[in-house]
Order: sequence, then structure tokens, then C-alpha cells
Amino acid sequence: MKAFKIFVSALALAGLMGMGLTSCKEDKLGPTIFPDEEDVLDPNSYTYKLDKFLKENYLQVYNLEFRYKMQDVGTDMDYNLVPATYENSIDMAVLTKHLWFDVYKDIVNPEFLKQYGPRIIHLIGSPAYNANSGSMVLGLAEGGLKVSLFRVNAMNINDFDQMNEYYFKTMHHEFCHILHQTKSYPVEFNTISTGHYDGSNWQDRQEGVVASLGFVTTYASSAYREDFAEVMANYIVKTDAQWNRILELAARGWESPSSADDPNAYYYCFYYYKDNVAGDDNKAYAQETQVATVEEDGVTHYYLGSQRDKSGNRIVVYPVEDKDGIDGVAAINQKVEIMRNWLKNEWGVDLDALRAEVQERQVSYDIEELRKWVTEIE
Amino acid sequence: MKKLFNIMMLVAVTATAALTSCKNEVDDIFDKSAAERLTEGQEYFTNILSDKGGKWQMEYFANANEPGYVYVVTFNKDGSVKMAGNNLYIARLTNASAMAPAYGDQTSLWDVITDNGLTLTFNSYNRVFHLFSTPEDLSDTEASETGVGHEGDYEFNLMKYSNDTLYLTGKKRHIDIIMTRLSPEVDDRAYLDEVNALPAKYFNALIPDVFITLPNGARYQTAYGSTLIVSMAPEANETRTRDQDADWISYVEKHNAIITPGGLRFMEPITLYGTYEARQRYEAYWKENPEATSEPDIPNVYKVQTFDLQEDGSLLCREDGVSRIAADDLGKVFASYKIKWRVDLAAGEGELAEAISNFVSAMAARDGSTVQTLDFLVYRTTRDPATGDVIETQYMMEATVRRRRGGSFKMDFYYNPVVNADGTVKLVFDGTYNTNATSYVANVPAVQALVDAIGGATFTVTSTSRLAPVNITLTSGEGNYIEASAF
Repeated sequence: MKAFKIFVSALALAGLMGMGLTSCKEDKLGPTIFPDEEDVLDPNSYTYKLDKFLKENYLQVYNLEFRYKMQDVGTDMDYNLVPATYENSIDMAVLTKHLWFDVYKDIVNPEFLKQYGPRIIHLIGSPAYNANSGSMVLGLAEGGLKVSLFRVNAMNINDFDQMNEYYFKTMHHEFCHILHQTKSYPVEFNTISTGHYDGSNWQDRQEGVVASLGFVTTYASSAYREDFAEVMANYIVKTDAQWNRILELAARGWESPSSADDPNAYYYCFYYYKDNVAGDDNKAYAQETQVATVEEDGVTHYYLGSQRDKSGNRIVVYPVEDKDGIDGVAAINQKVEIMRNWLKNEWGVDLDALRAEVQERQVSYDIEELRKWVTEIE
Repeated sequence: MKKLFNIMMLVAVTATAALTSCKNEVDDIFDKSAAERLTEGQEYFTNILSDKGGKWQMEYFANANEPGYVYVVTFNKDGSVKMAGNNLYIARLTNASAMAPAYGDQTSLWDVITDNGLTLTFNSYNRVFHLFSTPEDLSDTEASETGVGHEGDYEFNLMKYSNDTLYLTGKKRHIDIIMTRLSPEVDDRAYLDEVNALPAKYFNALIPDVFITLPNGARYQTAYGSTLIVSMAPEANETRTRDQDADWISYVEKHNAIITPGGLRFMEPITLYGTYEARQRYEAYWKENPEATSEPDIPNVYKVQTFDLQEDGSLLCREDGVSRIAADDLGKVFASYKIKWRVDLAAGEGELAEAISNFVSAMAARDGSTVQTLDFLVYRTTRDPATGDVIETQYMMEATVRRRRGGSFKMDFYYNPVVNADGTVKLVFDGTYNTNATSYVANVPAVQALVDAIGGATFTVTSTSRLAPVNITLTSGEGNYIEASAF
């Protein structure tokens, strides 16, 4: 008992000593360790005009740092990446404003991107290659804060399709990620193509095959969220002809002469019989480019180019029957409708108005005029 | 009692813990904060780089399998940088099948940042420099390098500045890069042309045997030095004597290097062995101690990396101050069966030069013949059937003579070369010559006089370059010499 008292007393003593001694000084925050630096641009700097443009059009308006000088600590260091060229950075800066920020400013409101836009746009010169899958990353949206645009050095300002595919689409794709990372999209979207996503081998799939499964691109077939972002991005930037082409592919049936288990199986949407003699042994497949289309009496006929059988008749080509059990066109349209409603209800954004504005700007911009935003800065 | 002891110990430990946790600040080691010191470092290195014209020679290595590349880098105070290079991959920017280097330059951006210590970054793409970092496949290899490329760094940790030399380390690949200040007057293109000519000058194809001689006298034979991927192996005799079972070729190793007007530097320190036993011990140490962090102290094991160009044209190891890259002893070079020498008929002084001059004049006087060239070269070699090594060399002095009425013929006089212990060389005339020479020996005294003068001389061989002695002087006594060049 005595020992217990000593123990209690000792604990009390130790506790008091501990309390008294460890609380001997109140911590106070001292002055910042960082030197005071005024955020003033140097007119003698080589990059003064671009820096001033970015400051006035992104930083001051959207609180956004448009980072064109490579900072690899801001990237995944597992990738081997290189900086963007200064010249392409200027082009990307003006195009991003014209085709993304100004669109939302005009169609939605000036505050929209100020509130929901990224805080950093990071330009990177090269693609980020995934050596294992053979694919490349074109854009990244990280935590709703940063959008990285890759492959900037390969941009060809005169190649509309390339600009669309690699840059404009990527902008809207990554911004869509930011939006749904802020407000969830309806889970109903995820149910439309359940069971048909393939996160590992999407890059080996064919555009037409995934379209018939209800995906607008092969990448869309990699995961729910990518599907969602791809629907928005492609719907916005694709021309009517390009969008209708996706739907046309989606309406077709596809089959391959190879086994379904063959990872290298190539799928066709047309077949024919050699010498027009029907039978499994004579069945062969045709590429779309081999097929001649002839309209007769309001009916579409397909032939194998100008080839003829032994009797002199044209070789007849047949569309592959769509047997995947999925109405690809309906699935894509359903996804667009969900997107349309989600943007309208959650964000107050009219998807079709947005699309019309982007389409108009995409085909009408004059890069020389846009560059003057930077080059004519005093 | 034991309990009481335990309790008291507990009190003591608790109290000690309480006391030691009281002071929650440590004394400042530095006068300024880390951020302030970094900012000062930024300014320091920014000024160093851009002051005095801002022009530097950069010794750049992308990886361990390619030679080093020299760039001339001009840092401007406005944040721009002009990078100039002259290499094969710049040539391939415009011609994918190019096999020769080409000059290129471009202006881009630079900065000193503090993301991983003080770091020099070239943070906008420069096509003549970032080509070593871009992750595209290389067209000249069978393997796919997509996603990897050359693996070269474009950001460098600033390690040290001393005597107008900056020492940097690649941020990602950790390869050492050295930058040396150049005069702002230097013309980038001309300088790089000069640099590109150096490998063939240092490792001249006419001088096939170049050695790294180690402090204990052992030698490594080198090959392909001009490619900057230097092959090297211990001299064959040492290896064959001590390791009968091994193929000599198995000892050949390759090391990538860069050559500048100042000398040669391997990308990394390389380990060379003065004896076979030293190699055995060294390799056994690392086999037994794979996690060891320091080098073992084993005699006759040498680490070499940087070789500075000396006045005599050899390359002296900076690390040990003794190891040297040079051609063989000049006497042996002159007597080598691998090299042919052409005498400068117009150069030289004394009896030797006079004998040559008389020979030329006498041939003209005899029948209007013109002595076009006078060469020393190997006529015949005898090899050891077991090793294949050349064990005996028969030399000849060969005069190519043009007849007055056209056509030419060769007069050959046969000698046995003897390299003396002091390095001098004696060409011992064996008394024979070819049939073309027969009548001239009999009828033109100056021919025999020349043959005797050469055979009677003891040559001291000198050259302005110990590394590439393509031009030599053969001296036999004061004021008595002739000059010859390898061809």
C-alpha cells in the first residue's frame, strides 16, 4: 500500500514537472521566412509580353497560373517529359483563352470559370508515354485544380483535326473532370455501358467497335469517368460531320474472322462471298475503303470496289449484322442527354449553345490575329 | 523493495523526459532563413551564369552509352539562353538519315530555381538541346525507346563554382555536367568546329596504339578513342600470362568520354588495375561487400576520370597526377609495323638531310629521274604462331622515283629495326635491296651513301604530340636530323 502511495505521489510529481516544464513557453508565429518579393514584371525580360498577357488575362481575371515554363516537380516524375517551346506556348495561351475561357465567359457568365476553372494550366512539350500499354497521356486534371496539356511541341496550327484531337478536345475533357470532381454526375450514366469498359486494353480496341457499344472514342471505353468526359469533349468539339460519323459507326455491326479471344483481332463491318458464291468457306471481309456504295431506286447497294465474279457481276458486299445486343446510337444519345441535363441543372450551362459557340470559333479563328494579343503588348 | 526501486526509476525517467522536452527551439546555425539563403543562392548563380558575357562551354552527357556532347551556352540577363551544338542528332533534326554531325543553335529560356536545391533549368524547349530529353524513339537503334528517348537531363543541380568552372549534376539521372566559362568573343560555330575536330586529332587513326599508363607502369591499350566510346583492356601480355583460361577480349571494357580543348573526361570515374592480383582482390571485395559505401584500399587499383592536355600533347590524369594517355614510346612508334612514315625531303639539317639531298640530286643527274617520296615502312613481319603477336619486323626504306620519260619505280632497301633500352632506334641495314635499286647502288654513289647514313644513325625520335605523334623528328646527334610524317 505504501508502495502504491509512493507510486501515485511519484506520478503526480512527474506529471506536475512535466506540465510545468513543457508548457514553459507559448509558441508564437514569427515573421515569414520568405523574402518579400513584389510581383512586378520586368519589361526587359525576354518573356515580358507573354507574361503580361498571362497575368492580365488569366491570373488577374481567373486567379489562374498559366505555367508555360516547365516545372517537372509539378508532373509525374516517372514520365520523361520536356518543356513546351516558347512559340507554341504563346499559341496555346491565346487559343486556350479564345476557345475555352472566352466561350464560357460568353455562353455561361464571366464568373463561371473564375469559380470553377482550374487554378493552374501547365503546358508540357512532349506526350507522357505509358510504356507498358503503348498509350500516351494528352491531358491531366488533378484534383480540380490543375490541368496539364501535353504534346504542345507537336501542335500544327494548320491541322484542324490534330488541333482538335490533341488540344481543344483535351481542354474540354479535362475541364469536364474538374466539373464532375466538384459536382457528381448522375450514376445512371455509369449503368449505360456497364460491363463493356476495359481499363487495360482500351487502346487496342477499334473506334467502330466501341462506337457500336455506345462509346464515342476508344478512350471513353476505358472507365466511367473517362467516358463521361469524352462525351462532353467530343460533343463540343466535333463537327456535325465528325459526330455523325461516330453515330454511323455506332449503328453498324462488327465481327472478326479471328477468335474473340485473340487480342489482335481486327473487326470488319462489311463482308462478301468470293465470286458471289454464298457459304462459310467463301466468306471474306472488306475494309470500308474497299466498298463502293451505289444508290439505286432509293436502295443502297454495296459492292467490292469494281471487282466482278466469273459471270461478270459485281461482287456484292453485305453489312455485318449488329449482334452485340447494344444499340450504340441510342447509348451515345442517352449519354449526351444525361450530360446535357447535368450541365443545365447543376451548372446552368447550355451544352448545345456551348457546342455551337466552340464550333464557330474553331473554324473561324485567325491565329495571326490571336497572336497579336501577345505580340502587340507594349 | 524491488518495486520501490522500479517506481523511483520511473519517476526519474519521467522527470528526465519532461525536462528534456522543455526547450522547443534550437539555436540558429545560419544567420538567415532557409528561404532567404535559397534566394541569395539563386541571385548568386544567376549572376555567375550571366555575367562576363554569360558564355559557357557545357560538357554534356545524356547517358552512359553515348559520347559526351559539347554545347556553347550563352546566358542572357533577360532570361533567354542561346544554345549551340554540333552533333549527329542535331543533323538528324533536318535529315533523318544523316551520318555526320551538323551545327545548330536556338534561343530559349533558362532560370535558376529552388525546387530541389539550387537548380539550373532550361525550362522552354530548345530543339538543339532538349532533343536528348524528349521521350521519342531513336531512329538509329532497333530497340524501342518510346517514352524514354536518350534520357538526358535538362535540369541540373548547381553543386559548386570555382575558377570560372561550374559543377552540376543532372537532377533526374545524376550525371555530372561541367561548365567552363568562355570569352564572349568566342564564335560558337567556329569553336564547336574546333571541338569536333579534336577527337580525331587526339586519337589519330594513323597512330593505332594508344595506351593508358598507370602509376605502377602497367598499361591499358585503348581503341576507338576518336568515337568517344573508348574501348580499353589491359595489355595482352599481362592478361595472357596470368589468366590462361580467359579470352583477352573478355577484358575489354567501354567507357564514354567527352573531349574538349582542355583534355578528355570520362562520364564517370573508371577503375583500372595495375596488376592481375589487384583486379582479383577488388572484384572479390565487391562480391563479398555488395552494400559497401566506400572503396577498398587495395594497392595498384586506380580511379581515373579526367585527363588534362599537357604541353607534350599527352593527357595526364587529374585524379592521381601520374596516369597518362599517350602513344607508345616514340622509338617504338617509329619502329611499329602498323605505321608508315614519309620523309619531308625539304626539311632537316646535317649529314642525314645532306645525304637525302645528295640522293635526290644524284638521281636527277643520273638519268633525269625525280625522287618523289622517301618512306620508312614495314616490309615483312613474323608472328608468334601461339599468340599471333608480331615478334620480328623487317623494315625498308623505299624511294619512289619517277622516270624522266614517264612511269615510276620503287627502290627498296631492307633494314632490321632495333629499339634500344634508352628509346633510341637503330635501323640495321641487312645488305639487301630490290632489283630496281641494283644498278643505282652500283653506279650512283649517293644512293649507297644514303643507305649507309640511315644505317649508321642512331635515331632519337621526338614529336610535338605524345598522344598523336603523326609528325616526328629523327635526330642522330646535334644538328643532324630529318623529319617524317605518318601516312
